[in-house]
Amino acid sequence: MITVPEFLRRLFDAGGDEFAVFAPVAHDYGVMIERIEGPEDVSLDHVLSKNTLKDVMLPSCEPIARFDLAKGAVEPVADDARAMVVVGSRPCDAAAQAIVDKILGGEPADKRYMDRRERSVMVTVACSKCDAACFCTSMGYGPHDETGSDVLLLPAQGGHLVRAITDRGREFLAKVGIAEDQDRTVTPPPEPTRKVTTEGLKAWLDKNFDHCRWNEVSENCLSCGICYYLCPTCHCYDIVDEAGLTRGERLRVWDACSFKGFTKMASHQPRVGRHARYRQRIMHKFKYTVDSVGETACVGDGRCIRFCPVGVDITEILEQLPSEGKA
Amino acid sequence: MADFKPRIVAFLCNWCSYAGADLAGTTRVKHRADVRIVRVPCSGRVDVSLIMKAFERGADGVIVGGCHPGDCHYITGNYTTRRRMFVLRELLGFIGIEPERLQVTWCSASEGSKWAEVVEDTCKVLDSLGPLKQVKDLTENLRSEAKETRPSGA
Amino acid sequence: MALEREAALREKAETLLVEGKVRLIIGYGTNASGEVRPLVARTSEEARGFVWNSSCVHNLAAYLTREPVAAMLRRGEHVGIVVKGCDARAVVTLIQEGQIARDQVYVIGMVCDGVTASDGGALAIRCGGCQVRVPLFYSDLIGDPEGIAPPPGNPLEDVAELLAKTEHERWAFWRAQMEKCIRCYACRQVCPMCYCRECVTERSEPQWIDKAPLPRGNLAYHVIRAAHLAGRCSSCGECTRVCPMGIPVDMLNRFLTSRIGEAFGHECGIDCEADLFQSSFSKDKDPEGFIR
Repeated sequence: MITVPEFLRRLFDAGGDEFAVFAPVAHDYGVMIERIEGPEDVSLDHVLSKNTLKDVMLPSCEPIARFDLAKGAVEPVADDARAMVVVGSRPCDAAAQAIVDKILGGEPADKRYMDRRERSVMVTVACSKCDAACFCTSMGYGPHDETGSDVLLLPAQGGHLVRAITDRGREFLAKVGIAEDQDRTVTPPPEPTRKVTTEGLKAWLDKNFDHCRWNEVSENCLSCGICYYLCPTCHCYDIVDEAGLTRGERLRVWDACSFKGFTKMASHQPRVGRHARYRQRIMHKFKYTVDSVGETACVGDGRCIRFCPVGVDITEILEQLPSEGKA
Repeated sequence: MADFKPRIVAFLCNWCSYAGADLAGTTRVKHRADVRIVRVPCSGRVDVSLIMKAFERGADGVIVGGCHPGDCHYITGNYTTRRRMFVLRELLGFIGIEPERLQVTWCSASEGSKWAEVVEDTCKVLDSLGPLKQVKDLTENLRSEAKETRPSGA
Repeated sequence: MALEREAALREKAETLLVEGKVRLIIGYGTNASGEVRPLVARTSEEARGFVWNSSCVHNLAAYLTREPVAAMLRRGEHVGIVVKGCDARAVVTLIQEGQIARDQVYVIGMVCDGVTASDGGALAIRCGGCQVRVPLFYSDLIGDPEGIAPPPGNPLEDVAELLAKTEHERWAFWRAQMEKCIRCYACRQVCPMCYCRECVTERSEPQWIDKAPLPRGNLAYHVIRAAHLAGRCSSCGECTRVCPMGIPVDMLNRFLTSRIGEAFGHECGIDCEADLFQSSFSKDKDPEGFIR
């Protein structure tokens, strides 16, 4: 039995400079998972951080090479070689990262990302509460789900039980000297009230790319990038060079298929209307990823619903799509 | 500060201010060499994006030169420049960049000496303001040290 | 009173649709949890879903320049829209800018008691001192315009506070904000006045604005956007509301709006026939003391 702050204290005492530690920190605009230097600032009272593990594993802006005419060289930017320990993410985010691993790990594997994943330890804190936007159970996950976690901290009377899920998790616990718990009573998981059924959805998507319903379901969408940037399974990126006259760097930055400039570098954005771009979101998550790696790229974390400024609700849309006629 | 040479980009309209600058050259009027000129058809073409790009890429100061009101080759271009430059100077001041870094001048094709004066005065203003540290401050560190989410160093 | 206006709004909307005066009406509706969001009604049945309350915060004018409404307007069809006073300014500015024709838009103006801030309860700061609780522009007004006074509060308090600081402090403030920006472009997408088919941000040859969400490019993006909105911004506050990182985006716009008002006597979105700030000028009165 351990409290999460105590877990972190033991981690910092044992690991010191050996780990790069990431945990949720409260800001006035929301709780964000970020790098911490000590256990003091961590926030644990929230349902879900605003940002996802993407900020850690596939950051919004990351230099991959630097070039300098004076040196006559292009130098790759080496990643921090330390193990990365994330403490305090939720089961939905851990599961989402496992889905992204399948996509970015497929041939040809994204080496930078996969190396980072090799070095990362996911210490997931299972959920004690959910909010109106959560729908993980409808996507086959749950508030205490193990998928993608190396260590799972389960809420119990007075603290959390420590469970190693993977060998990596077991080794990590041994390294920091935290023992797994023998079975004790875990507080029952909360039950998300939001439910969506996806039965028949894939079959409908397979056949209805041109259905007129696509024009109806996402009328409110204004094609910003919020649901793409805050989605734990969205992973599109762009490579840009930003430089002065004599030196600069090559960066990987987030991109979103909702943007008008998406894939402009290849030739153009092929999805010209807002409805076509929203269709792409649904298709990619609920059909194309299923076809390519056997996973639905949605874990029901609900951020897209929580943070959409104009009330676009994916669960509502998923129910409307294969239904007969507009209500 | 003694070693500091301000880098100034000047957007000069083809018909008046560019010709005036050219006249300064042909009549051998001396002025400091810290300015680089970009010729535009009209000062009205100078959008904020051009000026921001100049500041972003190392300019310590920007000069926008146009025809005197009433003399614009395109009749009304410089009147809109006037409004636009007012807005941009206010905006720069609001975000904490000294508005004096953006100098605007009406300089006709016959005002070679005036151009030289404008350059000299702008250089003096920038000598005392110093380099545009604010923008260099942004480019030296990709993110401030305070909160680092990326595992690799800045 | 809001409920009365809501009932009157629904009635008006249904009538307009049944009589075929408009093809659709953009208004406010709710989701299953009762949260307000934009709603497009094409039938009188759908119009019964319209609501009116202090959570009707969105500026629906943004939908007038997006497809499919923009295409409908190009074909000469008519649409309806529900507006608050601030939103009405945006509609007027769109008419002034030639983006929509005056007679194609049926504007249902709502007498507004102000919208509540996102945490519920307290009136949004931007509503303080509002002069357009009764919209200045509408085809039809819902609500009694008699005795409507501006709500208390100073919507420029945060701007004044920042202006009272030193240049150095202001820079530190904006630098911190620019470090937060992730370039989701929600601020731009939600803005009715950002309707350029190719935004300067997307221009790549030549490229004016860095694409990466680093402070340098973020600063260029926000400064350029604010400058492009000078004299056009309706102060609806949507850009700040939608920012997921809590950046006070509209502070730049409100600052400029107040300076432009002081220096040029210009207020946007009042008169459909009036000249636009950026494309007009006064030969004698425009300030030029800063020009050598």
